[in-house]
Amino acid sequence: MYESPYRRPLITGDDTTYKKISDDIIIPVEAKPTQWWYMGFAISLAFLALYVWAIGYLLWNGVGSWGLNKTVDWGWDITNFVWWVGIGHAGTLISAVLLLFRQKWRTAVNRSAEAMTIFAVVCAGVYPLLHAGRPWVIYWALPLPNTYGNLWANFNSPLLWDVFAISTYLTVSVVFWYVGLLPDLASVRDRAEGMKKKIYGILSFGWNGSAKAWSRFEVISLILAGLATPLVLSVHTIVSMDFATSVIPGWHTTIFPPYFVAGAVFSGFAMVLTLLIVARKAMNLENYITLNHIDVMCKIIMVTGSIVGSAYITEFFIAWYSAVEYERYAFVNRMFGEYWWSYWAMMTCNVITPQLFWSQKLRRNITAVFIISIFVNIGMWFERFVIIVTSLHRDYLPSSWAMYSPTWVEISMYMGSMGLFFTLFFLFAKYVPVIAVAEVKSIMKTSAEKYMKITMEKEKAEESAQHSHESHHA
Amino acid sequence: MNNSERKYWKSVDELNNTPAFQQEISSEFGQEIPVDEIIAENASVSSTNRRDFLKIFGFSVGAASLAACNTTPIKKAIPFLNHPAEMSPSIANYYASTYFDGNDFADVLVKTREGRPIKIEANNLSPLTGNGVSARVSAAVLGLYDTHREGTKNPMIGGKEVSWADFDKEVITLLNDAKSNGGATLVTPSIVSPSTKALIQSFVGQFGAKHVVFDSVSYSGMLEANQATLGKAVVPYYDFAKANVIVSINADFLGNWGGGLMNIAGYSSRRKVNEEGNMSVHYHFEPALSLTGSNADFRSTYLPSNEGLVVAQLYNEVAKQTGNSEAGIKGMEVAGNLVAASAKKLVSAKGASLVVCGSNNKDVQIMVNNINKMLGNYGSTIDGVNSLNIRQGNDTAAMNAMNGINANSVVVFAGVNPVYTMANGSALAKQIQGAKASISLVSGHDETSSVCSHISAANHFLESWGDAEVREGSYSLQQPSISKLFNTRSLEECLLAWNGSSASHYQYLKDFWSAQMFSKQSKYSTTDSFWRNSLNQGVLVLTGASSDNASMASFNASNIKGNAGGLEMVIYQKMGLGDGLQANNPWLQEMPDPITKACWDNYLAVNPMYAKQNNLSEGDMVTVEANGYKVTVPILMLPGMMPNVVALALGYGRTKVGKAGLNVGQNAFPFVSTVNGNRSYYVSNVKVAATGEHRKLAQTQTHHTIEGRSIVKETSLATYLSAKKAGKHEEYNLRPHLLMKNEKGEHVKVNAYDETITLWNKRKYPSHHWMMGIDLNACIGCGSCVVACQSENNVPVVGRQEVINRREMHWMRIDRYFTFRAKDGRAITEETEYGGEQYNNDGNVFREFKNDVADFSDVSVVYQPVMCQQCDNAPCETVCPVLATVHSDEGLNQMVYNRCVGTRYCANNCPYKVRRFNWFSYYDNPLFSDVNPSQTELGRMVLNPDVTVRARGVMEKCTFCVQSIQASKLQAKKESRNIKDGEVKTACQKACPSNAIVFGDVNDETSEIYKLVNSDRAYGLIEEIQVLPSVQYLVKVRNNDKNQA
Repeated sequence: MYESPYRRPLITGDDTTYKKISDDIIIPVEAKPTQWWYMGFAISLAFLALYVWAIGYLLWNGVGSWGLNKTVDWGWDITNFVWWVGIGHAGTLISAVLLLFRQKWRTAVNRSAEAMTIFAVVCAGVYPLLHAGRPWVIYWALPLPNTYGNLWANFNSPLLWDVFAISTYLTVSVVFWYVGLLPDLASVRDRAEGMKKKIYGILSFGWNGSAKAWSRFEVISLILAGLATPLVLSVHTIVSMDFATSVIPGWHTTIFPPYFVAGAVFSGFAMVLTLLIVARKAMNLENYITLNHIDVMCKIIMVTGSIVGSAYITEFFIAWYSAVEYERYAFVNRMFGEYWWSYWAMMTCNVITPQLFWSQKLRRNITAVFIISIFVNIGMWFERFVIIVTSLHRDYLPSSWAMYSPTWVEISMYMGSMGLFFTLFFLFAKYVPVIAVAEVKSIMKTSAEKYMKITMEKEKAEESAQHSHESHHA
Repeated sequence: MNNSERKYWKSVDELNNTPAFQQEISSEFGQEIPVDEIIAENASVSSTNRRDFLKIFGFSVGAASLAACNTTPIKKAIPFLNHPAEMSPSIANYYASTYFDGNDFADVLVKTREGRPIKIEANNLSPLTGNGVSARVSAAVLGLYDTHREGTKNPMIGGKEVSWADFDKEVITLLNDAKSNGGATLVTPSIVSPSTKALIQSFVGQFGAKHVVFDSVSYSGMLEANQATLGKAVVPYYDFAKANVIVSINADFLGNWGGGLMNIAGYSSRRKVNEEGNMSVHYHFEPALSLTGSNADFRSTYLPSNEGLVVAQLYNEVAKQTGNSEAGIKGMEVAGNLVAASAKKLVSAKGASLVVCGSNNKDVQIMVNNINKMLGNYGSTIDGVNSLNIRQGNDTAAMNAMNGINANSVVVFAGVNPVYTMANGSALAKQIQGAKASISLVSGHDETSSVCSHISAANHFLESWGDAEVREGSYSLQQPSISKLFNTRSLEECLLAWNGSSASHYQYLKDFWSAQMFSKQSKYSTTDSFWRNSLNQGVLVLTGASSDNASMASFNASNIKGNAGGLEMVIYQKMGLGDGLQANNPWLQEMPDPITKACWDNYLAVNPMYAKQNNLSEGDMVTVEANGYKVTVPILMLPGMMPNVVALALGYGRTKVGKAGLNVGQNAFPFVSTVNGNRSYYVSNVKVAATGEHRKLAQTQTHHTIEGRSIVKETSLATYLSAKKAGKHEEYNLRPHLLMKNEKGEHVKVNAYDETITLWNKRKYPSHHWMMGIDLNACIGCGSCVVACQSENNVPVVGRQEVINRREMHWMRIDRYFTFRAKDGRAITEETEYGGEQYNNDGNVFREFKNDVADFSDVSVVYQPVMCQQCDNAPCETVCPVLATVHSDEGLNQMVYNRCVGTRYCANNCPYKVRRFNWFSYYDNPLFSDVNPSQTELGRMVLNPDVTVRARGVMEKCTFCVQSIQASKLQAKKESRNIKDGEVKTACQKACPSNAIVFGDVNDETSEIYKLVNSDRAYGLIEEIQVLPSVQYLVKVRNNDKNQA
């Protein structure tokens, strides 16, 4: 294996051995959960219960239990949908794109980022199902054979594209994640006994660690990475088309696809940071998820945040430059209209805060990074709110202009979807190795200070030997 | 050998007589029957083992529970024993009838389906209301199925249901007994029926009774004035079609004043601009913004107490110019010197002008009559000969009768509710309770019937016979279109019974017409054909010629005083509820007021400047105190009000009514005072005080200006005519265009509203292409179409809270926009210019009014009906994931309710925001049981069976009444012909009293709609986004050029 003498080590700590890595990562799976886990899990479950209650209330009474109206027909539902989908973007980016680019630092974070992706997409997927007036027939959006003659889905509708994009994304993410889990599940199996051994045995699909298995593992990882990479771009591109293909000022914008993808990566990385900063501390994984990881991710946030900021400014310029009065009004209304606070919250969180990451000091300050990551999450939520609600509430005909505010059902569903997300994440943290053990082991020796030290000492010794030899000659 | 000994064997077995055969013939059946096992009492003996038991048990439990899961709906379908010949299932029948409730009048067609009246439409044969109906007339069909009527199913004495025989016996005794005490008193609203008048006459004669006409809203002062001018106490007939110049001083003649609905057709026929630019000019002076005022070319405000002075000013000006003597009162000019300007115009249009006034002050009305006399309007625009028979009530007589109710009185109330509509209603209630007997003819309890001892359960008008002569010589017949739902009787049936006649009302009416009307006409030779044809047509027009029968009358100048000081309040009727008779009608309660767009409430309308000065904002609760009466109502900021004037609507605050109207708003009738013997509809010295509470108003529109957008295009008549002559259409109808390069590389102007530049293939409509045109000049914004649409299309009612939540379901709406006047005379349409957020209800931002708005009383109003525009490139169609909304090959944007999954993407993507989502299950959710008529068995009968009742979670919208299109297509197909132009009419079009809506097939180049969409004034709403709307609007032209003023 190639070992670079010039790279900083990807895993810190003294006396790191393969055994120690296995222990560090797998012991939390084997041991009884900590009190903190129980507490966190209980709170998540409480929110999950709220979620179930709110959904039950919604299904019983109808979408009227939300605050929507004849003018604003989408509110928190689609805002949350897009927000969650966006958050789901970091996982694929880390696991697929960074794999193809051979960014080895990703191995420490890809497992949890991918898990987060899946959970976020699950949370997101619930919204398009439940926002429908008649969710029990939402399957009509699928092009299924039916008895209605040639009644088919409408392939012109971006919502239909969404159905395909999100379901493909979820499927590929789950498969990719699970394939990556196989060697680690086998490790857990090998260390376990009794019932647990059996369960992990089944889950690991009979992984035997043979060279053949590893070879196939590598190949399938590459293939899946290749498949998943376009999805990073396609999913949010298609989500953005829900808006971009419409005629509503503020939605009808060709800049949306790249702008949404950048925003998604931006929010995804922010969420990864939010979670991992807590997880690495709680699970003693500081040696694997190092400050370097945080630093790198902050840089990605800074870059994507700047793209998003430029997109905002471009939108404004185009609104002015187009000379379309409706378009101009839509953007002025964003800034100074009834929902000005959401616009300025978005601008502050998404444009100003990521610029703080120009400072390396801040990138390496865990507290600062944590706070900024939260800001980005909030900012990206407001971005979707601004796009959806402020565009709709005042469109073409002033007679129909209206205000929208959420009801307790919508708020509970949002809080509840966090409950679902964290419940899944807590279960993940307990039952699955949160770091890809096998992959992390592969980067243990790619660089090491010890080696550098030894090499330098050797060189010094050789140099001095040469000097003495030369002087001897002289 | 003996043959008889011969033996035949049935089988070899029998021949051989085997043991098996022996056994077989010993048993009856081929197989052994386990009789022992079956009759064994001990189950263990049985072969039914545990498994079989469980199987059977499981099956039966499963089957039972499955069967119990779903109760089979009980459907009541009773076949006809004798099928009525004229009735075929799914085919509508129309019956000509007449609507008159004491306040509103219309000749109508009642549409019935399977024997149920489901809609009220205009009777086009009527010379008075042939164009359309008002919202209240349309909505009246709902009253038939009002569950509140179940409270008075049978006649009642002292709250106990009795038979009609017992009831009549007791009533006749009471009436006879009353003879010795001066006779019983019969109180009715104005009676326009000649046959009923005759019946009342014989009733009065037989029982020595008194007949008192009590109108909820009084025209008594005007009647007295006309007594002086015309020699008879009537309201004359005003012919607005003949008037080139109209001056109205607080007469809401398009709304509730005078003939109301009867005025609209004539007025709007002269508001449409024809080729010669012949258009009437309308001056309007009023203290508060009315529907009529909002349609005026020139409008100004004054204090209500100065009304006489404004009339005097006009009097003096007209007198001066016509060489008559002045009024002897110093008049008062309004802002802009409009009185003088209007006088000039009036005089220039002598004999073809019209002055109307809403005052109930006799002397003011005499002055108005004198002005009209000076202008020579009698015999031309004013018909005093063939006058109207409505509004006959004399206030003094009515008050005396009411005040005279004492312990010996026997009083009959028919169609009136004085406990509610009289200023001293609560005192009257006590008097009625103390009377010997009080008989109320009522359909569903009201405030008056609740204190009456005898309840005579009354019909709905759709269950009754009747006739009307609303204008001299204009007769109408009323016929029932359903048999009585309850054990009820009309007034006429009661009078016949009490008079001792055994004739049915039908027979009486027929005889009356044969005797009285037949001889007046010459068209029909036999009474039978006369009756049948009259009934079929519903109207009989025998109006004679008009002539000038007016004379200058003298008036008492001392009764015309100026400002009494203090804040003044106008008491008015809204287009929805009127006098409150139909307060329990949820369609009317939810109908947005044309001006304020508010529903489910009455409120104190104030000028925004007044609100600012008194630190009030929209929805603040205030106490309003005057004449010793006090109510607490919310504030509504309304431009167009005189700054020192507030306005409160009648018709609200009903306390004894069904669920829908109960305690909605506050009763304003007690504010009505009596001045010089006549009721006066303004109050001086009103005290308004904030309570600190807040009540959100239910408004369907909360942003009131067009933000400078070319949504409603408006021009002045002079600009229009000169530009049209010069061929410069863009001066009044600038349509969007782009500069594009042609083949030669030159930049040329290209339409940006049709299919010149598009990625889409142009749609082809080979058979029909339905389009609609709306003439913004003709539309007066009355809201009749909204209710008619609701009636036709089973549009649910959602109630106050859901309107506040901005979820009203109306398929069509009338957008109303204000334009304010800046100090420099500029028109202001943008919120940022006037600081409109302060008075908009769609936010909570408080911002000061900008200084450049001179005064919110100077306002110009436009109305724009908006329904689904049936775009050719419909944005809603592309985004629906399940193809629930698709385009037809006749240009319709179809909505497939069954297919809709409810993503609401279509509604978001609709630039017109005309799509309506079923947020709840309106037809069965208990949340809406108080307001939604379709929630009861009775209420459901009003539903149109041709239109699906939409389920929860689906989108709905206007369909251009596709059910009517289909019906007409089928009819044409049966008759092997093409559809004729004008054959298909949408509900809104049929209801429109001003003929503002045209609908038809533009593939037919001879059609009205083809002409309209190709008019130089036609434009599409936000057509620059190229959705190619199928609705075209005609640019509004106002006759308000400065040089004309």
